Amino acid sequence: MKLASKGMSVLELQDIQKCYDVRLGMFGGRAKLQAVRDVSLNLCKGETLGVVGESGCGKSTLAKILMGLLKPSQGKVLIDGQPLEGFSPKDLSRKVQPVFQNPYSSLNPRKKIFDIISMPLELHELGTKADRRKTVMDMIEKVGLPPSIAERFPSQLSGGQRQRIAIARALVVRPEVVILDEPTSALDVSVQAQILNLLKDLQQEYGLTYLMISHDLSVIEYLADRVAVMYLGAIVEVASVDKVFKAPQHPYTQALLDSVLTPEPGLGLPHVNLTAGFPNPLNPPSGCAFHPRCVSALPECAQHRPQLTSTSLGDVACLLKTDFQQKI
Amino acid sequence: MTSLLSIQGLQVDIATPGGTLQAVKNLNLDVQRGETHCIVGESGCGKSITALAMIGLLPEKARITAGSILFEQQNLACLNEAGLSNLRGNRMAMIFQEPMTCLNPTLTIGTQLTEGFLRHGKGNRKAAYERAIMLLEKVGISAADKRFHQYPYSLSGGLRQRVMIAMALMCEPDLIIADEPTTALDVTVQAQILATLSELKSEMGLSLIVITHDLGVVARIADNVTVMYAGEAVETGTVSQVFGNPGHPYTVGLQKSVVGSADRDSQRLSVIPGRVPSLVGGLTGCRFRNRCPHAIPKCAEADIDMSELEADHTYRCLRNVSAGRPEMTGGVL
Repeated sequence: MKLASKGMSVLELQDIQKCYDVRLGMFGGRAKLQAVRDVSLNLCKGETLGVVGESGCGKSTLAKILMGLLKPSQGKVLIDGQPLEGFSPKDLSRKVQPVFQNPYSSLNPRKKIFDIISMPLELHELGTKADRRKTVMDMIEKVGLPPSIAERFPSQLSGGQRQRIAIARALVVRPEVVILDEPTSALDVSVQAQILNLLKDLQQEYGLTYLMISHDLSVIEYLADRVAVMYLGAIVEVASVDKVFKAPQHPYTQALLDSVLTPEPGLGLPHVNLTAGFPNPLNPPSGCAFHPRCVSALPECAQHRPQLTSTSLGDVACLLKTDFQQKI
Repeated sequence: MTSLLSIQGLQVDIATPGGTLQAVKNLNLDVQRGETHCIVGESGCGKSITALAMIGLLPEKARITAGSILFEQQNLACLNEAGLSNLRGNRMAMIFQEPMTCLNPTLTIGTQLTEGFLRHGKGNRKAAYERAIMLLEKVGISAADKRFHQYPYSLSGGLRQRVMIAMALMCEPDLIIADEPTTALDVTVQAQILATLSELKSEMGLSLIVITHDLGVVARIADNVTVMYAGEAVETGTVSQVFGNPGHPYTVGLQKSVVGSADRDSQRLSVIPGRVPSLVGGLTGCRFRNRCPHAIPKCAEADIDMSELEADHTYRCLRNVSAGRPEMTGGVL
């Protein structure tokens, strides 16, 4: 049972694979690095899908594929049921818009705020000059900034204000899907809460669909409806936020949740049940990619690659939770 | 017992084109032997400048204009460069935030690990090698003898941060200052690195100053906490005092801003409205008053002194002096 099946899907990924050609040193040979492996996902209109995982798990590659910045080696991306290749970059940018992690590098320092936000409107030739001016000023107000900010430069703004501008620029062409790549991790705690509130308000107002990439599980828990957990390029668990946070199925999800440091004094540091370090993606482990770090791994785990299988508590790719239990 | 490190009335000014910026104002801080002291605050609150002042690595434009930093009775604020460099890496060491950029990419891990040990005359090359291998193993790096000869690029972020910790421990320092030691790392690695740091601290009897913006890190590792806002310490006490019975409205606001499980059901997160004031030019009165829900006209009149809330727990606020503190309990900021 997929929660996603209840709504209309705006974005669909079918068996996406992405391989990079990597050179091994100056005189070394070449190797294939599989950054994304068999990823199938769909995003329904108005929902927020959170993608979590450690660095190197392929979540940013996935985001780049969705924005049309990278071509998948195999598999299909459908936007409103149409294949992504059919969209020109210009058409795609009216459907999917990104908000990046670092608002200090994602805004052109030489342009005024007004020009930064009105640029997408000019490129798409939307409305007359007067219309555009009104749209930009409305957008500035919507993201909670004073009109006077339009004549300033990014360097005169704080991190939180810059991230608001980045959000305004993404939303000014009224996209359907917004890819949020770690939108609050460069911000201070008190500002992070302001931006999360803003994202939630704007989603309701415009009926936006969010794909949110984050390593911060508490942010995902607050904003997302569903969560996809990635490990070494593959999705190991997808379920609703409540299920993932209350009853994680995959041992890796459990370890991620155990690692969260909540501000409660006296608890001490958690014991994280992960044995080895993150594997080398150029030489991934056999069978289940997580088995060398898994505390409950069985000999079978080194031989069989588990498939993402539906259970009553969400989809999970773990032999212990699916195949193995069925065999018993 | 005298403190290992005692900062009294520290003031650091930074020259900017717009005038003098008071980055740290009248800071008092005591760190005992074996203590973990966390300095917490948001960007621009002066926490990193305080760390750099302690270890004598302030940027050129920044100057200590008042106060003293006593490290084992020696005032670091008036020590010359030679004196400081005898202490740095030797008696006190620093771990920086970005393990990706603070190792020299052109030198092997081993060269960088042993450099300080040899420079401070702690022993010969053989002793340095042995100590480096011992420490690499201690911080949880497998195949240490192989890693010793590798360059930083072949190590992941977590491993590099472990190398940084091993490097800080080379000369058996008394004090380690860690500036956001786990901010750049994954959550799973963060818990492991902090556990390693805490274990080594108790094993070697070090004192640890951890600078962070993450209240989760503070809650789990600190003995004592200093909360900084706009260059001033606004609250200091033991970790259970500051988290359990916060005295300053900023501490309360910071705690409420942390996204937690309970927020899932509420539509809105509580926020601290407004932004940090500019620290250029003289500021009088409470620096938090423009964002404070409890501010009164008196807050603007004069600088506010630290007052005692309970034993070892002080805060810089005119309000909520009574134990009941009715104005602090209600409402979202």
